[in-house]
Amino acid sequence: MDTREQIKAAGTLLKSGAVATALETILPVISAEPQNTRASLVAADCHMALGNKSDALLVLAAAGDAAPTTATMSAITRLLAKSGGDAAIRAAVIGHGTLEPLADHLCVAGAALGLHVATKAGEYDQWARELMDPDADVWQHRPQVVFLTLDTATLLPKLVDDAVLTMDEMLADIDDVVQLLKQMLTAAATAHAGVQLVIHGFGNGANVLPVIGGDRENHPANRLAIANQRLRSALAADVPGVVVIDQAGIEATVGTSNLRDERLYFLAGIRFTDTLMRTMATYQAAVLSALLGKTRKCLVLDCDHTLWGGVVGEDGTHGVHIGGSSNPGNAFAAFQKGIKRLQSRGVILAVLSKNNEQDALDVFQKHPGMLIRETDIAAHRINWNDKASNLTELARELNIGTDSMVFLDDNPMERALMRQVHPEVLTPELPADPSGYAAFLASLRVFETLQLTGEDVNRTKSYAENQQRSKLEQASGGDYNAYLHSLGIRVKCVASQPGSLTRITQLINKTNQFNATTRRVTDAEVAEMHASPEWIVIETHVSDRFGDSGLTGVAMCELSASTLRIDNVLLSCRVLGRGVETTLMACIAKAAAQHGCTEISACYLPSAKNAPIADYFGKVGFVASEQLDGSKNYTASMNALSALTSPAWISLESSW
Amino acid sequence: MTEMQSRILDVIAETLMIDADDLSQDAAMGVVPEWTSFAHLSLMAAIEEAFGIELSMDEMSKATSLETLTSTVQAKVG
Repeated sequence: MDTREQIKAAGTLLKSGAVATALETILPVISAEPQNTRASLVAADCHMALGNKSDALLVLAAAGDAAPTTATMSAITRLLAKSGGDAAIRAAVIGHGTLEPLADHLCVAGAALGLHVATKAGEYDQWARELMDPDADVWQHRPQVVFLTLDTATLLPKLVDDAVLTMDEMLADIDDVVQLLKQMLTAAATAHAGVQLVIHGFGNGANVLPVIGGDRENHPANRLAIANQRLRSALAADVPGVVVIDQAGIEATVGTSNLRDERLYFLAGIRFTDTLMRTMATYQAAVLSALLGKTRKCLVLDCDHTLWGGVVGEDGTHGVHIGGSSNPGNAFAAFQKGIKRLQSRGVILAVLSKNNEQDALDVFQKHPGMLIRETDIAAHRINWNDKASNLTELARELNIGTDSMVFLDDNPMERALMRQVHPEVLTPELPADPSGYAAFLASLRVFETLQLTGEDVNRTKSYAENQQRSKLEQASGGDYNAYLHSLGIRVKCVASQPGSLTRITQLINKTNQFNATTRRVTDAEVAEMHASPEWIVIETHVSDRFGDSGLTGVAMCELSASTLRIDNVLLSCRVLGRGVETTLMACIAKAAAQHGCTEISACYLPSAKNAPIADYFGKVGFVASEQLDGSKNYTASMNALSALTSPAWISLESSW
Repeated sequence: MTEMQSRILDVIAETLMIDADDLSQDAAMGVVPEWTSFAHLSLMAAIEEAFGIELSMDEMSKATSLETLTSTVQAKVG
């Protein structure tokens, strides 16, 4: 049987309920072809069916490692959503651009930490509305954590585009945006008490910051750093619960030439490469892990070939390699420096070594190159017993769970034993060469803590209770109005332009929710209406300070002697909830008046998805007559609509 | 089904992680549930690699069914 047949056979066995046999069939395929995602998916499905979620997550994480593509991430996310049962935590990713792939990456990065994360991506560019509007779709997912990722070039265009910018101009620009972000995050934190908000700092995105600019104080190289510093200070002072992820730092680890795939960007609005998304998701997953109190607390270290080069029992106290400027002593010193850095952040150090106790302790006490000294070690087991039982003793002595320990040992046999006896202990593979130890340790994101660990953990736990509170707050909040005013919404309602017809057809056929009839049209029909003197086709463009949504609304109106009949009216859900609905109807009414009509008629045909438009006509002043088939015909006299005006927060440009 | 079509079907199945047997000749984005707009991008990359061709963005955005994809690839491969 070739691989494909084996995968298929396993799939069939799984479906027929022979789960154990299915797993036996598929495991050899995975060992032979670790990069075969389909095999991993079947294996994970088997583990799930056997109720063994942690094994399933491990297999999926490995599959993500082997083939880190958008398709793999999406397949893993689908599998978890389908057969994963209850998620450990629910997260949403909102921001600029297309975010589904990032949400999928988060799902897989969570699996690598043993977490089943249920993710939801916000809508394209809709982060501001999503933050401010408690009815936005993203909140239906009941996220416990919301990640916000913004495009610097959109928010701070001058920083990116202007080669010469005075410090005052730049700071004014930055502070304007930072203040606004602060207000929005504060409002969201209030409206959704208990939800952890996480913002990715300003990143370089597509490596667009200009490199010219001379020797000014705000040389482009400094601009991002200054913007991030202002963002952090403002948030730390006023919205302390918000976590800021170091996006510029993430970009640096990925490399500035690997940030964006231009084709994905221009074709699908995806702002990041898979490599970048993978790293971002690793950071996000670390935040989730920390929120759930799963941060590792203790680093358990072997001695010979791990903390120093050589074997103390053979080479003697001063014969081992540690410190100095030559290899490998310098590499071990760098590793020890990294360990000390973790210790300074609160990580407990323990030593677990097969040696004569005094031999090893002598190195800690006497070797001049050692950075870690005996006083740095909270507990040690240096003897000839097996390391698994020794580790249990260490945990007991330190009064911590073994599941909060990380075990580092250069010996693969010791690692294998530890994994077998204590799967809950994190026992990562160490690089083969000590020169890689320090970098490896730095990449291990399992000790991450949020600034407010205690409070944040409690927040997550008391989520249900906080939800009720947030409902009360939502009911009393009048802030949405102020938010709308601050958006600077601009709407253009004009008669259809020849160059817009393709987009008009597309919008009519794509829009499901705010679409009065969901009747689909062809290019030819639209062209005909556009050319006919009996028809007015209105195209609606919406933009605000965060970006241009483009042509996102259409109304098709047929004129007869005294009536303007709205054949259909629709708006993209991206622009709903900001008053554009009213603006569009006000324009229709003006057009009707200009053509001498005395009445406007309209029709609502219910579909599975268009409930959002059900109340539209009634709300603006139409009178309904229900039909037998559930549809509604509406009429309104021009008098009834005379009071209808575009909301005050919208600046309108209109043909009528 | 031509040989070209069945080769393309294999790439589609491989990329979307589904059975080639479950795909018919009218396979297309939206028709096959796994063939989402995001998966489409991975699929285009896989097609480029499998056939040693490069697709323009315009070609990518149009090649959303087995039929159009086959004719696009056919034209490129010659």
